[in-house]
Amino acid sequence: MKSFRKELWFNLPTRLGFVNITPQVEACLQESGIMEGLSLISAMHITASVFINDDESGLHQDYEHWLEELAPHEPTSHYKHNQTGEDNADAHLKRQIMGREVVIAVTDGKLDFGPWEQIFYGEFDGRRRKRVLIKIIGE
Amino acid sequence: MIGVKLGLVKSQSGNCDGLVNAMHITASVFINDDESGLHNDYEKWLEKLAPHEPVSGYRHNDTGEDNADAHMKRQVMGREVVVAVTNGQLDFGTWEQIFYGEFDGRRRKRVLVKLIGE
Repeated sequence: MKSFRKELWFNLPTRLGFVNITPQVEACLQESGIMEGLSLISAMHITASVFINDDESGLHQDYEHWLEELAPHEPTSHYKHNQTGEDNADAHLKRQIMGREVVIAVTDGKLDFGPWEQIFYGEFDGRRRKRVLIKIIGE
Repeated sequence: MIGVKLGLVKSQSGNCDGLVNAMHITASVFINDDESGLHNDYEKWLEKLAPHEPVSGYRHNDTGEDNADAHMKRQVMGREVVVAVTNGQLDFGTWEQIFYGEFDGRRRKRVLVKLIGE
């Protein structure tokens, strides 16, 4: 069995944002030489997500509004977690809705996707350096 | 919600993936911060999104159950996590910790840990 590991680094200029990382994951898969197996792509930070959905900017705006409604950033004093000196409790909640990781089948050396599946990094507490782990195992 | 740290998987495995999942549909396994204030925030937030009361507000509870809210809370928090294992260690960022989230407790329930690899 082969295994491949790589980290992707991000430093988004905004608190919240989405980045399509499908091309980077495809490049990793090619580099790994793995033809059959599983790829795991996970946020290494607990205020960020990796998820699969549509690469459509309107939807990304919808996500932003919806997440803000479900877990508002303000008032920061509303959250106990923020009494520790943080102001990112909402980001921990938003990340739970959008998920931590995706696991994608690798078939014939390709990500075995449906027609519209794209992989995104979701940032909910940006403006600092953060990482995503890509781990591919198989043969 | 009870957050129980799973101090797991110091296995013989070198490079593999570890799947950790709740075996019950009113519980979660998730990764987040081991900070009690945040756990309190989760509890309040989940209660707002899917309140336990009134139990009659849910069709599921017509079956005699009173745990419809727990099925919804579990969907928000997730069923499983998959963690990379690299050189025999959980391949984690600085603050990642694995939790069991219980939304309908006071009975025996299980979590499955499955490692695949070498």
